[in-house]
Formats: sequence, C-alpha cells, structure tokens
Amino acid sequence: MFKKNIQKFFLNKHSFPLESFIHSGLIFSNDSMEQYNSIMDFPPFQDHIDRGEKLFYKKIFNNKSLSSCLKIEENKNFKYPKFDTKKLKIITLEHQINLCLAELNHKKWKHNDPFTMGSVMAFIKSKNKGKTLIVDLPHVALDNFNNGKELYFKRIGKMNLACSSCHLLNSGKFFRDEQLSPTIGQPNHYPIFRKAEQYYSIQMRYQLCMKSVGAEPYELNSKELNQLEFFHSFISSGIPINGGVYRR
Amino acid sequence: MMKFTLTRRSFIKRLSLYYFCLFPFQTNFSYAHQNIKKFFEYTNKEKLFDDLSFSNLDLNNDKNINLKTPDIAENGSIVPIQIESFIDGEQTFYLFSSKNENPLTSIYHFHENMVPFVSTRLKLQESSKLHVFIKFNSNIVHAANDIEVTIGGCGEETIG
Amino acid sequence: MQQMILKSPLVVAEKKQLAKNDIRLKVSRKENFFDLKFLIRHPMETGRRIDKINNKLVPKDYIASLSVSINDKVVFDSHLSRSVSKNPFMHLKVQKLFAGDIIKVNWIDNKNKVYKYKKTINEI
Repeated sequence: MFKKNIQKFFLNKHSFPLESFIHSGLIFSNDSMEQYNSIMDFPPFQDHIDRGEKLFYKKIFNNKSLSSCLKIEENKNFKYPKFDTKKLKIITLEHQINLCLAELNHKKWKHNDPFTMGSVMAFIKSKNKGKTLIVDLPHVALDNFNNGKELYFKRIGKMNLACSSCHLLNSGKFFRDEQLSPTIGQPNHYPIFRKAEQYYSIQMRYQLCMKSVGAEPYELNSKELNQLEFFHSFISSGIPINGGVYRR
Repeated sequence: MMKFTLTRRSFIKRLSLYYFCLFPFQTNFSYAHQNIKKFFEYTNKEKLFDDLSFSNLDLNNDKNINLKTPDIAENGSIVPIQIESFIDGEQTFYLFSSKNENPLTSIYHFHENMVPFVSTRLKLQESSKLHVFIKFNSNIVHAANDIEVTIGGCGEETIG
Repeated sequence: MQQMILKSPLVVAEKKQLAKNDIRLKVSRKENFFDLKFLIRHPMETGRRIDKINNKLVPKDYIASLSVSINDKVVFDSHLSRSVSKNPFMHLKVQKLFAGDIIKVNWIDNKNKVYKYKKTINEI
C-alpha cells in the first residue's frame, strides 16, 4: 500500500510512465538523455564491465563460479536486495557475492573496490538490463523495512536535510545546477560510473549524500545502509533495472 | 671482386624507402601543414582565426554543416560533439572552443572513402561557442553552437 | 576429496591498472556506410591538474595526432590536443569496407612516441 501510494505520488507529480523512472534525473531533460546515450554507446568504463564478466564466469573452486552460485540469469525478475527469512537479515547483491565467494573458499571482496566487487556488480546489472526489480516484503522483514523508512525521512547533518527533503518533496527542482531526481527508480540503475570513471554503488552514493549534507556517513554494509537500501528498493519495485551506467 | 651496380632507378627507390621508414606519417595533409602544431599553442582566438585565414568570413551557420552539441554540458570534461558535412570530397574540419586556454581543439582531415563525419568528446573550460570551419578545395564554410558549461572540464579533476 | 581453504585470492582482478594506450575498436555495417568506433585509454593530461598525493602539477601527457589507414592507404588523419577528453573516443564513417581489409590506427603522443594498432576485418 505504501509502495503504491508513493509510486502514485511520483506518477502524478511527473507525468512519465513508471518504466522511465529507471533513468532517474535524466528523464527531465532530453539534452541530458542524449548526452547519456552518446556516452553509453561506447562507454570509457567498458573495461570494468568486461573484467566483471570474466570474474563472474571464472571457475574458482570445484569447477564452480560466481555465476553457478548466484544463479541470477535463471530468474526472470531481479530480486536483490532480498530478506533472508531464515537468517532474518537483509542480503544485498554485494553481500550475496561475498557469501558465494566464501562458499567457493575464496577471500571476500571489499564492497567499494571497482576492480573486483565493482566490476562484477556493474556486469551483473548490465547483463540483466531490462529485468523488473521485485523486492519481496515478508512479515518478518517489517521491522527492517520500517527502520529503513525512518532513515529515509530522518533529517540529518549540519544542513538538517532528509532524503525525502530533496528526492520526495523537491524532485524535479534545481539544487544548484543539479535537477533533483525522484526517489523511485534510483537504486535500479546502480552501480554508476560518475564522470564516466568513478565507481559508485548505491550505498557509496548514500555515503556521499550524507557527507554533502554535513553528516557522518554510515559504514558500507552497515545495518542502517542495508535497511535504507531495502526500503528504497522495495518502493522502486516494478521499475526495470540497468547498471554500470554513466552519470555526470 | 664482386660487382655491385646501382642504377639510378634503384637508387631513387632505395632513397624513398628510407624516407618512408623515417617519416611514416607523411601524408598530403600533415606535409602541407608542417607548422600546424604551433596553432594549438595560440591563446588568442582572434589572432588564431586571422593566421588561419578564418577571419572576414560569414560566421553564420552554413547549411552544409550539421553540428550537433548539447545545450547544457552535463560535465565539461566529457562533452559529446558530432559534426557531419554534406560537402563531397576531401576536406578538413577545424574545431575551436572559444573560451579554452588554447581555442584550437582539434583538426580532422578526411580523404576519399571516408564520410565527412566525426563524433567525439571534448573538454570545455566554460560556457562558450563551439566553432567548426570546414576547408575544402579553396573554400571555407562555418558553423557554431553555444554550449553552456556548469562544471569546467580543463582544470583540476576531483577524481580520487 | 581434500577441501582447499584458500588464504590468498585466486581470483585476482586482471590488470588492476587500466593500461595506457590500449585501444578498443569496433566496426559495424550500416545502410550506406560502415561505422568505425574506437576508444583509446589515455589520461590526456592538460598539465593543469594537481596530483593530490604529492601536491604537484601532473605534466602534459596527451595524444597529439592520430591517423587511420585502410590497406596501408591513409584515409583519415587528425591533430588532437589536451582539449580532447580523457580516453579519447572517435566515431568515424567509412564508405567502403570489405572482408580482408586491414585497418590500422596509429597515434603519436606529445613526446613523439608512436603507437600502432592493426585489425583485419573478417566478415562484414
């Protein structure tokens, strides 16, 4: 119900079809969209995606690879982040990749390393481009979901702003020279390559946002950022995904 | 004693072989513009246009040129530019960004078998005019677009 | 079967350093011409950037000229500068191209070092 309402709010505010929210802030300007398309035609960061492909299919242990462990291609929808009802915990795609690496007797990867985790993340999202993001909300996940929701609406930092201040109430308006993107659809197109080279996962972007409002950012893969990502992705369900894309 | 004869023909052939080994990039274009490199050091746009004989030209947009540029560059360090000319035959594109420290950004020469088209990415320092002059036979045509730049692309980058 | 516990990563990211002067080139047939697109990994340093680690200006380092030849005949040549974006990208259009044609891309940097790349067109 909450998801339906919030999506309805944005669909009324900005008259674009739901699928187009995958492009986030780019939907407001044909000019921006064209520059994006031009760079995506031959992205400078293609190397990262190609490396991700190699790492994804490489047989690591017992003739198994990340691909055989993650089994993402078999699903017609994209289902990360998800809530593990047995372990009672939020599993992001990065976390799942590290769980698979452990199963393959391999050392974990850092969540923000563009040469390992970043490459595989960018490859997986771009390979599954077009699939619909579906995030299930089982009853046992409600606490985590509600915490995530609280974090989204909580004012923080010296500037005393919440995610909702910019991306819910003021989406489409300009803040300095940036046109504020709407909340729904944001996690769908991550990870991104800012300035066509700097890797950012959605949680790394949350950290950047927190710093820019003068707050101390939470750690990557912390309970807080996982809850925020879970909430954020749930309300973005139904919108297609992409990843390894260019942003200014 | 071994006789070694060197005919005039074989001498010239040998000389030209050495020449092309030493200067593999001598084409009509670069040979005719031996001093082209110095124009890239110019900082004054007017003097640059003067010395390249681009002054006193009609600076309207020629209908034979399709210059595609963004209205507002998302990022001044990577601005996609596309130029297409409807002129036949060998020709040269000269691209200027009016407010860059050195306004001459690049020169593209198209021989036969090439469509006179190039799409590339440039750095723009600030909001400015992007000029293209096309030289073909002894004619010159021009087109220019304004591009607004919010984050300048030539200075310090903030990539860590 | 003995289980191996790997202490050091087997899956090491190949080429952690993105190699300078690597070129990625694609040719595709269109209606009346052939698209030739390539991207060269190169910092195209303007000489104005300050390296954050040692607080020094990074010296100029850019591709100054580039040419394309087909079957050893130069069809395109260009002079570039530090005003060209990092990792220079070019999209050109060739009128006629046949299987077996050899495309060569040569470029020279501002220190006069020459780089060469060759690709034979298989099927087109």
